[in-house]
Order: sequence, then C-alpha cells, then structure tokens
Amino acid sequence: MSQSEHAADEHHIARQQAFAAHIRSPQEHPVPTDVDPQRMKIYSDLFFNNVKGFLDGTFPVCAEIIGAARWHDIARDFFASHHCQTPYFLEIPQEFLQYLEQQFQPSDSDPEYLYELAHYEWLELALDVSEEEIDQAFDANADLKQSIPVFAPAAQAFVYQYPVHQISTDNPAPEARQTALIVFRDRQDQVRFIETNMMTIQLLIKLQQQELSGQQAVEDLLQESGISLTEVALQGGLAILEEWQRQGLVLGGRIA
Amino acid sequence: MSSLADVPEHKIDFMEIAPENWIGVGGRLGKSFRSFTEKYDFICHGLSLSIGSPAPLDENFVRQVKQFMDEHGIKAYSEHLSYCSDQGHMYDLMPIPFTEQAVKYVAERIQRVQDIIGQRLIIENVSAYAEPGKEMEEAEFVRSVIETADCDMLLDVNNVYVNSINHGSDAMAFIKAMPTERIKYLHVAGHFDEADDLLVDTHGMEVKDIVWDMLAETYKIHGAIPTLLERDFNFPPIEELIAEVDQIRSLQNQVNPNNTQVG
Repeated sequence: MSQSEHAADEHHIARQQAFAAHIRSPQEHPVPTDVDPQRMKIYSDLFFNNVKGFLDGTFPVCAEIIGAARWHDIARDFFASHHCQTPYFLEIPQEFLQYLEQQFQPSDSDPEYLYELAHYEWLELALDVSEEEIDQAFDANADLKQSIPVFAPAAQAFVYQYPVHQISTDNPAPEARQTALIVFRDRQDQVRFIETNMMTIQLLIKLQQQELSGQQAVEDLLQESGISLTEVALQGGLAILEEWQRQGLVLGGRIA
Repeated sequence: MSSLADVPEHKIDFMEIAPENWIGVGGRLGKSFRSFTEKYDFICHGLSLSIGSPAPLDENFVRQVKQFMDEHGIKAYSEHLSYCSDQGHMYDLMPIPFTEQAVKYVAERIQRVQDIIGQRLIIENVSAYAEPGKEMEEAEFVRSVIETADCDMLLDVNNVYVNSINHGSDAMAFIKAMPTERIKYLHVAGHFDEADDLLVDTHGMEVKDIVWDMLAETYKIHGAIPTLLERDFNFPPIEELIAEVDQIRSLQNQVNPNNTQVG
C-alpha cells in the first residue's frame, strides 16, 4: 500500500464506511481495528433488530409461513444488501418489497407467492397511512344510476396470481388462481378488502378515470366487453355499485 | 396516544416528534397527530438527516421537513450529530470520528441545511458505544462543530452520562464545556445498564437519580433551559411520566424561582 492510499484509508469517511459495512454484514466485513468487538456487536444487533422489527410488524403472515429461521436470513440479506433510499420509517416495508422484486434469491423451499403475499400485507399499512382524502362534496343517498359514484379514500384494485388474502399457516399452499382484490379505507378509517373479478375491476377503473354516471359507466363497459345491453345486464352492473355502497367502497354520488 | 390526549394542557409546555414518522402520514394517525399539533408547541426532532453521512446530503428530504414544519407551525428542527446511512439508510445512529476533517465536513453540511430551512439547525450530542478514529475529545468536537457551522445545540444530559461511563470521560466537564448561549433545550431520558462499563441509551425506563443530579447541575451552570423528557417505548401509566415532567419543573424552579408556569 502506498503512502497516499494509507492516508485515504484513515480519512473519517473511509472509517465511517467501514463501520457501517460491518453493521450491515458482520460476517462479511471485519470489526473496525480500533473498536472493541463486543461494542461493535451492540451496534450490529441494535441496527438489525430495529429494521427487522419493521418487517415483523408489517409482514406477520410472511414471517409465520416461511418460519423464523428463514425469515431471519431474508431480513439479514435485506439489511446487508439493499440500500434503502427512503428516510421515512413507514416506507421501510416498501423498500423490502423492492428488495423482494429485484434482489431476493429465493430458495427451493420459499413459496412462489412470497412477493404477492408481502405486497398484500403491505397494502394494509400503505392504506392505513395514505394521505388520500375525499375532498369532493357528495350525497350519501344519491341515486348511483344517475350520479357519479364517489369512492372511499385510496380505493384501488390489484390482481394476484394466488389467493393471497386466504393464505395462513392453516392454508400455506393454496393452488394458484387469479385473484382480484379491491382495497379501500372506510369511513371509520379502517382498511377493507373486497374479493371481486376482472370485469368488476374494469368498472372501478372506468369510474375512477372518467366522470361517468353509474348507468353510463355500466353501459360503456358492457359495450366494450361485447355484451349486449339488456335490462338484466344493466341491472347487474348497477347492483354492483349498490353492493359497493353497502360495503363502504362507494361513499355516495355527485351530480352528473 | 389516547392517554396523552387526556393530560391537562398546562402540564406539558412542548413536545417533540420525529418528522420521519409523520411526513406523508394521513388517515387515522394523521388526524390524531394534527389534534396534538393544534394543541401543543412542537419541535421537529429528526432521525434520518444523517448529517455526517458519507453519502450526499438529501436536500430534497430537508425541503420536505421544512414544508412539514411550515404546515404544522413547528418552529425548530433538531438532529443528531451523527450519521445513519452509507449508500442507503440504516435507521439508527453511528458515531462520527472526532477529527478536524469531520468537523469541517459536518459543519459544511449543517450550513447547507440551515440555508434550506432558513434558520439554525439544533444539533444533539449522541450516545455512543464506540469512538472510532478519535483524534480529539467529544466535547471539543461538539464545540468545534457548533462554532464552525454557527448552529444551535440540544444538550442531551443522559447521553453525556452514558458516554462518560462507556468511554471513561468526565460528564460534568463535558456539560461545562458546552456554549450556554447556543443551548436551545435539553433532553433527559432513562438508559439501560448493559454492564458496569456499558450503558445503552434505550429511552425505555425512568430517568436515573444520577442523571437527575446532573440535570440540576446543568441548570446551575447554564440556566433553567427548556427540557424534554424522552420516552420511546415500555410506557408506564401517563401519571408517572407527568411526575417526571413535574420533577424537571421543580429542578428548574430551584435555579430560577421566577420560572413558574402560568396556567
């Protein structure tokens, strides 16, 4: 090592990098030479347990299904290899989803649905703290056929390849089947999920993207789907809106 | 938070929140938070600024903090004289080496933050379990940063005590060395005795007697400075926390009998 390289190694930045590297991965990176290993262990344990606590709190079903030992290893790998960019603690789970998507190396025993299950568990947190509010005036008793339906805050639809909402330790290996879920925050600020189908999701998306009365949206959707516009089909579509209103997904209507 | 909502208002003069836990938070938590900011004075006590980080300063984040402060009428921003990230966030505090180079590096970053927020940043002395790359005493390091950056200070009395045990330094000498006119407020908290020579700053217990004594001494040296009781988990009934806050007030009144609370 030349003199200048040695000097660079003594720079506080290099020391800080080495200190952090050991905390991230005590197995891969040595304890800084001027620090007592026991003191260093305080740091590495505190840091890892803190980050793992956020994962445990957000992904309890993933953790339980996969088992404590494997979950611990995954959390370790996440902390060691993923460079979280968010300064916000409640977004650590989002960073974990990115890790699962982009860096995670599944083992043969890991369920294929792991990412989807994690995403589903994260949604509960994401909607709970979502800043989305309903700022439009609406009439809770409006006739949804003639008025524009107003949806509960943060209403969104997701399509999974597994029935993620039914996975538990009692049901750890469900068959793959396309599963459409709508999630929203109700009037009591509780996060709710509704299982639905692809056609119904189309109706939700249409109503969120365009200013349409309930009847217009249903008619457009039937037409686009090549279904003939019968009274029965129209009533079927409007019944979905009324069901949504009963469930709290639709809060009411605005004048079309 | 429900029991905190029932505390008579005159019992608490101000509170602290970590902006990193509340920026971008709506729903039931956001509503509850707003009910507190409407009732009490708050200080932003940051966790993720990473003022000593090897990585570039996240100026966008600093602007978000400023916007958050404006939104909620929060007048002051304190942060740890520490770093919590390398190429990514690690969400806890690491010790900056006490060197001349580091003083300069950190002071420049503090000045940049101050430019963005349009006021002085308040930096806090942190507890540490190691002092990597140490070339000067912590007191000298902290003082130098404050002078070079022209910033304010949050003096954490518990951290001074924790470090005095962990590194064998003189706690009261540290406190005496701090610049009175720059100390905007104090922290007191409980810590955990890991070993005879190792204390961990947990904020999960009541304040120890020796730290109360140090707090009383600090008031004698620097005056009856506003003081915040830190408690992050393992919460006792709210009455016990309020009793600790009353204890703070009583110690302040011993050095400044005119400092009685109106209300």
